[in-house]
Amino acid sequence: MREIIAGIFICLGVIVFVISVFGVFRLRYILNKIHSAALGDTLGLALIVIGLIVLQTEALQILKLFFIVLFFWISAPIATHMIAKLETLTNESYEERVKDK
Amino acid sequence: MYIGLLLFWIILHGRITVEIIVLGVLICLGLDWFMCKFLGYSVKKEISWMKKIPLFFLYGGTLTKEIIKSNLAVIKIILSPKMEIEPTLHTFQTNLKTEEARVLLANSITLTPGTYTVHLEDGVYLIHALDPSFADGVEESVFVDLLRKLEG
Repeated sequence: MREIIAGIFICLGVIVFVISVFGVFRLRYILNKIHSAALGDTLGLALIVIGLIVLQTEALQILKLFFIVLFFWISAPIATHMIAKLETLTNESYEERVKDK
Repeated sequence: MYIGLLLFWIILHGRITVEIIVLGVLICLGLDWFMCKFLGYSVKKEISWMKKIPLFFLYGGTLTKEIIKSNLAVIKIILSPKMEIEPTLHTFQTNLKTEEARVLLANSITLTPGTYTVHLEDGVYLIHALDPSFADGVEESVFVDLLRKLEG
């Protein structure tokens, strides 16, 4: 029973990753691609780790897996931010491709 | 923070023996000294954070909920056959006082797919949104209320 639940979560996570990769190729401009890449970072990773947590029996191992998500969610926004900042600093014509509000 | 570091050390080891604990106590002592001396941590600050632990958990729960919601919205956009998106840049001013709260808000915005922070200076955020609907509620989102409580 436990394996089935874990399997469902891991499969959902892999599906989210597939959609994320699909989106990276489907969206045209780098500032839009980042949104799609963030899918796998957040929900995809979280779902896979939840699946692995369901499989685990030891409390310390579960905490370890939880820390993977915690530290990833702390550090991933910084990478996203740096990519976006680099693009806006180096590409002079980026404002043509976004609609100002 | 010292206790937190020690607990983290033990969790990473996965089992409790005498040598692990002795080594952990020494390493955490050194690390804690470094953090207090160079990174601006202090016992007084940590005690004031301790009182806000329930709020941090509440914040984490809200963040997870928002991430799931916006993930589903972005998945819907990616899988829609026509994909009519209007990427927008959106500027807004926040009234959060401390730098920590501002950075936390910027990271939360970036972590939810559909919006991310391009630039942050003196409380003015430059937000890129995949679709205008994502950027609509960003000034007065649930995060801002929670962060105000965390500050106060």
